[in-house]
Parts: sequence; structure tokens; C-alpha cells
Amino acid sequence: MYNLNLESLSKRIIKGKFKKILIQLPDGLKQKAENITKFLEKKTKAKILIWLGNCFGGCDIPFQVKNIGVDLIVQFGHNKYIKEKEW
Amino acid sequence: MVKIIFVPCEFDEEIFLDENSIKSLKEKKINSLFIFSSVQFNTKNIEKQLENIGIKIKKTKAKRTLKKGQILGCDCYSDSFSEDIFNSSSDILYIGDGLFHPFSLLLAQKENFRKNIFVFNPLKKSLTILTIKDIQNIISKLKRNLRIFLNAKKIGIISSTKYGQNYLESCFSLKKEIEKKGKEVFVFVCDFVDLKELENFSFIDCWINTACPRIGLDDILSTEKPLINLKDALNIYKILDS
Repeated sequence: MYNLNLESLSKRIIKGKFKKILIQLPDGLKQKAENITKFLEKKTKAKILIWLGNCFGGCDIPFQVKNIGVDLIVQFGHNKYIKEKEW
Repeated sequence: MVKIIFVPCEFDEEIFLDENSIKSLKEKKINSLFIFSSVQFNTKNIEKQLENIGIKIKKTKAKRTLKKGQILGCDCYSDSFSEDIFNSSSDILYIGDGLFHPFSLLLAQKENFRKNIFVFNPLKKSLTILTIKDIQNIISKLKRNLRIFLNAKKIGIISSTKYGQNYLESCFSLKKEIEKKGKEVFVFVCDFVDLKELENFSFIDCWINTACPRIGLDDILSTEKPLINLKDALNIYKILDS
């Protein structure tokens, strides 16, 4: 129903030589984490981590995972967020 | 630097208005419509259907989105759009399967409500209309919170560390402004704003949110602690007089 674009995503992961990847899903898609992880692990051989916390939008990216060696964050269900300078 | 890829998860079927929805829109004698949707839905077929019944399609850009016609939950103030859609003669149609996003279009009119919002759910094939009644509980609670803010002596400003929700400079500017009015101000920092945590700081009389604006709108219904958004603190009299 909602296109996860996993084939295209795995190609980008292989091309970018990403090794440790965090996938982040909004609540409505969290059940897809199992299939996404299995697919990407098999296709890319990268280590896949799943964000357990919230995913409110493009405004909500857990950059702190770079501290544990994550080199790519894939956020599903949203597109790029344009941040305003002031509130 | 960690790289980011967004996968918008587009709906993989073509979407169309059903006959009943077309009939309802025809009966409303609408001349033109601003169309909005979430990023998942491609609205081109619906736009053609509407043009075929004589409705002119208009699209505008919400400030925080990447493309025209997309809307986010945070586009919930009247100045969140590149043009003044609420004072135009066009009606507004949201296409999508939830209510969080179209509620932005209601909340953006809380000081001066002018337009009901048509919502077409392409999964249920249903057309509904959102009106001011749908946000009346939020408006009432917000006015109550604003009145508490006026008399509050100790204010807590909430700043989130989330990349897209962090406006620490705005927090300090606001702190300065509020202190001029003789109030004491404390700045709090967190990642996720857990409203239960507010209970632990009982010396705070009123909270001002500078993270996601929906926290100071929809979420105020879930806490008795007085909480308002930064922007509403600045527009306080406009809202109380509405």
C-alpha cells in the first residue's frame, strides 16, 4: 500500500558503502521494521539498527547515533524538512 | 557526518474522488480550491477531476515543506503559508488518510476563523468537513492557559534538542522580554517533551513551549499544567480578544 522503496534504497546503501544504518519509522510504519531490517541486511550486508524512540517528522532526526558509529539514518514516511530561522 | 535518506513511502495506487464526493463538492458551488495533502499522496488525478467540474485548482507552499501543496503538522499558524490562503476567496481541500495534518489548517485560523476544511480520505473514499467546532476544546484551553500566563510569576521555557525543533536563541530572546515584565524565567532542555515531567517542577506557574508547535495546541488537552506556545505568548491579546 505504501511504497517503502527497498530495492532502490538498498542500491543507494551499497553505492554509498554504508556499514551501520539506523532506520527510523513513524508509529504507523513501525510494524514494518521487521521486514525492512531483514531485507536490508540480506541485500546490503550492513548492520541495521531500529530507532525505538519517536519519529515525528523530518524535524526529528536522532543525530546522536553518530556517537555509536552509525553512518546513515533512513527516515521513512517523511521528506526533507525546511527549518525556519526563528520559531 | 552521518548521512540522511528520507523515504516518503508514497501510496502506490492511483487515487480518485468517488462520485458522492464529486456530487457534494458540486453542490457547494465552489469556484476554486487550495489543495493540500501529506507527502504520501499524488493528487494529480483528483485535480483533473475537479477541473472537469469547473473548479480551479490552486497550490501554495507551506513554509517548512519541500513542495507546493504538501502540509505538515507544524504548519499551524496563519503565517505558515507563502500566501494568505484564509483571506482568499478559495476554499481548502485536504487529501489524506489522517486528521493530524488537516487540523493544522483549522488551528492556523484560531484567532480569526474563516474557512471550514474539506477533507477527502482516499482510502475510505469519504468527504468530510472540519469546522471550528473541531478545535473549540483546544481554543478554550489555550485561552485559559494564556490567562494563567498573564498572572504567572515563574515561567518555564521548554527547548527541545531535536534538530528541527531547537530554537534556543528564540528562548533567550523570549526570556529577556518576559523578565522585563517582572517575571522569573527558567529555561528547560529535553529531547522528547514528556508532559508528565512538568509535574516535577511545581515551582513553575506556566510553561512556554518552543519545540513542536502542536505541543502547545493539541497536547494541552492532555495536561492540567498551563502550557502555551512561544508564538501565542507573543500574540496573547489577539487570541484572548478573538
